[in-house]
Amino acid sequence: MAARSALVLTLLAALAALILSSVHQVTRDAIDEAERRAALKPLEELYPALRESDELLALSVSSVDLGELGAANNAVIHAVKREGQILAFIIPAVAPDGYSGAIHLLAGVDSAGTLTGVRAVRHSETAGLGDNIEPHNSEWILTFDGKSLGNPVSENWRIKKDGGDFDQLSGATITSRAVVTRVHQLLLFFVEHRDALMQSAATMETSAHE
Amino acid sequence: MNNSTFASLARNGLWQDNPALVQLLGLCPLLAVSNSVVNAVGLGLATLLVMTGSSLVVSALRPYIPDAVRTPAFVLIIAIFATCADLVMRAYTFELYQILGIFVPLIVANCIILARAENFASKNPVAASTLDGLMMGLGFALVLLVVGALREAFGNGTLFAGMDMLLGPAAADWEIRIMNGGLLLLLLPPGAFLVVGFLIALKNVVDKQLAQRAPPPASVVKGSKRVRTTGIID
Repeated sequence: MAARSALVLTLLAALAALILSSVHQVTRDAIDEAERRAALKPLEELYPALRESDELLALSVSSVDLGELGAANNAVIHAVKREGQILAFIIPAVAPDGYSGAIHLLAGVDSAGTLTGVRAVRHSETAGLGDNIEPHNSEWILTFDGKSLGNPVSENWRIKKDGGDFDQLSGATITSRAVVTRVHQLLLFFVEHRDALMQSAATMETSAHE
Repeated sequence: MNNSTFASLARNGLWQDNPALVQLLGLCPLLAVSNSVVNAVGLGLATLLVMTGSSLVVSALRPYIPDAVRTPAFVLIIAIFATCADLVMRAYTFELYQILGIFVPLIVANCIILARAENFASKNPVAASTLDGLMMGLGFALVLLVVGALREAFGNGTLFAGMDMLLGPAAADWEIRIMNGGLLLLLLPPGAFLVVGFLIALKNVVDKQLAQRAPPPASVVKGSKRVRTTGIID
């Protein structure tokens, strides 16, 4: 009896292995493709002109310290490269002074220093107020698109409540102030290190298209 | 299988012994992913397919499976179907798969499926078992759909938002805006409990009305037994 039980279970397990491995074979390519597209999607929000053929380079430049932007030690700047041209950079930053702690940001900046997109990738701001920094809740975060250091001028890189050009989210002044301030610092940081980043990206050959 | 078995199986699965409203099985996915129509339909369909398939295979293999290893064998069969559903959803509806998250692989642990395998498919012929799996799965999926639609409509103010995640780009403009915003409570977990509670109450009211009107009780299908119940047991 026990032998028969063992036999039945073994046969079933073998059958399971056979079925699952064939389903895996059939779906593997579609899953890889779906995962690759899902990984590219957030980058498309930061740099809408991104093409599937673009190379994405992870830069490490010793003179550029992302700690100045509050980013973690293992954070890296990515460069978007198309046919040898450096088009844009994806830069991480952390605004430490959100209403409920740190707001982790990613910003796309083209090689001329114009913002192509800003997103809050991780935060714990209040639901219904501070979480309006997310694009599916409010269009506020999109106001950064096309802004640069000269547009508006430095003293206007503040929320309206502080005399600047940027609307604050109603009920979330602290959140808005934290994000605007950090994005401004990110642009200053980029201008300061632009040449080093461009050079590093230009000399980098390995493609890290992930 | 004659017509009366068909009717009583359908009646049991969809209404009389509805897995979600009467047996209260599979509450975890029911409450967790019923915050929009697309989530509800996605998980409902996957559960329905797994349930129909595993009921079929369990009843077909039942003469060969010794009683001692019945449960592990059934779980293995269910796991095959659940894993296939998992792989297929990951391949073709990746965004939806990411939203449903752990609840797709967890279909294997959905107690309705094992309960039907144990209580029905292991004791009944293939055709009846497959139909039972289909009807129970449909009963579960329909409740999931109703809860999802109510929560999305009154919690978020929309219907059919994001259906393109399940049905492809053709469904991208299906979204209907009913009102601006809604009751946040309904989108949060307590909202799921409230909606399901109201649906159970509603079903009991309807049952009471029906009982007053038509006295003859329906015959109970062999092997179909209620484990927990919110209805009135005759």
